Amino acid sequence: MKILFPIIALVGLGLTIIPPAIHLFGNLEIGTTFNLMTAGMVLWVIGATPWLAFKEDELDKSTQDNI
Amino acid sequence: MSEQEHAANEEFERTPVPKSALKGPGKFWGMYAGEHAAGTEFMIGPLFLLAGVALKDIFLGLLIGNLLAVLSWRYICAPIAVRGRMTLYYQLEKIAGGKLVKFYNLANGILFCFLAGAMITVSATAVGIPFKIEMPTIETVYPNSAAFVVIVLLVGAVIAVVAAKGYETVARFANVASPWMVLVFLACGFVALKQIGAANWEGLNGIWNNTVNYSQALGAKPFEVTSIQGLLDLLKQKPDLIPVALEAFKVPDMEALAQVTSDNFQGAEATSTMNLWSVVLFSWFCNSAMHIGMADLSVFRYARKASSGWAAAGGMFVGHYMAWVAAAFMLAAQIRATGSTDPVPGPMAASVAGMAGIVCVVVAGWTTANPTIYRAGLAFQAMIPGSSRTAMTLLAGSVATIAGVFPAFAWKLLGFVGFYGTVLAPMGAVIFADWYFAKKAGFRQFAAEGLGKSMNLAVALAWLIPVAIASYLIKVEGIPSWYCILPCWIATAILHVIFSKSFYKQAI
Repeated sequence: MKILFPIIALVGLGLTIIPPAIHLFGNLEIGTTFNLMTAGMVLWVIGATPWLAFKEDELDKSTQDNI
Repeated sequence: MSEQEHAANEEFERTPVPKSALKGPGKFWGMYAGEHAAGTEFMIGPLFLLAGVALKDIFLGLLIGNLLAVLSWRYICAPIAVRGRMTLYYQLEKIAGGKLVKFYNLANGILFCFLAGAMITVSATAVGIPFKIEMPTIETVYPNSAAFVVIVLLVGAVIAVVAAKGYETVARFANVASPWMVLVFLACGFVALKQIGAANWEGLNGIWNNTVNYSQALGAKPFEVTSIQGLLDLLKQKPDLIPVALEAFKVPDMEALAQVTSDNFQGAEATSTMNLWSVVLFSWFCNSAMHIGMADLSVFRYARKASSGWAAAGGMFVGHYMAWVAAAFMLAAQIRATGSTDPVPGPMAASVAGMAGIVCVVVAGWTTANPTIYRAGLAFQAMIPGSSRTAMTLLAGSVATIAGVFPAFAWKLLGFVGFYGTVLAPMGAVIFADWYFAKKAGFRQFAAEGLGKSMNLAVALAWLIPVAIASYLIKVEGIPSWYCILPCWIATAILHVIFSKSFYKQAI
């Protein structure tokens, strides 16, 4: 089961970027592009949360700023 | 507990990081790439377009500026980090004294609150979309509707409470969100480029120039509007401006004015307020507090070698190059499609990425505001002994939320980020000068520690004099803030050497 999470997450990432690329270079409709990106977002959350969220945070980021 | 386990749990706030806790370069590459695709990127890219930056200057300026930023991390910050292995705050305390570090921390905390406020505004513009809330425009300094205020207050309250009670959880959530957000930015750029509809570089450049010229004509005095419809509404209230408008847009009558778009705009060419060197300096110094300001000593103290400083390239070229260009294209596409020049992140992202774009804006604003409010809370807690971290974090969150109600902080993010660097980066010059010149110039290194002082007067003067002068130049004379950061840094380094030699000669 554990091996599935990274696969689901990576499929989610693929759906996030591949449809927009096809929309740009090909003829994928914008509505379909949005729907696939939404599906990609959901799959990423489902797959990445158990995969990445509970990894030991090894690096001290207490003073890292996000600009 | 083994040494490795102890090293993994300890944060080494007041001790050098031991060898057992050091990390390889891969950790830093991932961290920087993820953390610099943030809420601010949605604002900064579009603001370049509105400032009239030429497209070639964006591509070339960001290339040079981001490269200089990476070199600053690699050759200014990382070498001291791997040799001293201390946090910025601990190293500064040894040089400047605890009282001055608290004051620096307070300045940092207050500035963080306003930055977080801008990010709450960013998130609110996305949260408001399903409720069809009227969004503020770029001319909006004060909140434009009660509904927008309510959304900001709710978003700010959630972010503040979570920062106070669940910072770690959101930090972990940010780790999960980062890779996805990076790709959403890229996706936004792809779709925006399609919507712009250029066939080649000349076409893209032409469309870009049209959107710039059109935006500036609308935004200039006496109109200061963000769309042709806004202009028509203004002219109904002020009909004496009609001849001025017809002249500015080079049209014969109001009917023709109503048909003006960025594509058929015939008015004057825009005057840029940011040239190539402005873009270079802005992109070099937008994170100046972290590289030449040495805040990232706290990060690179864990690096095995100074060469890990190159990892900043992941952040700069993913976040500050790709994301800024993508966000700028988003506004250009919006202008072309709707005629609106408002750089409101939520609607812009929705039009190029749908629901994924809306969620990305909310998450990007939130994951930027969360650590910012948390650290502001720590800074306030340090100022008020005995205060609770929760209470101070909520205080910081409250200040940030109130700031978020005023969209001006988001619209003026370019200037604010420059001012932020002007105030904070010079402390890095103190560390730099102390590290490299104390022995050569004959003054005491780590003077506050050696002499038992809570405030090093030499540091205070070296920091505050240039910052005071720069603040006057920025606020009164109108000098763009990003021009002041490097002169301030150099001046502080020189003054630190001069004053330290006068006040704290090296012990014999």
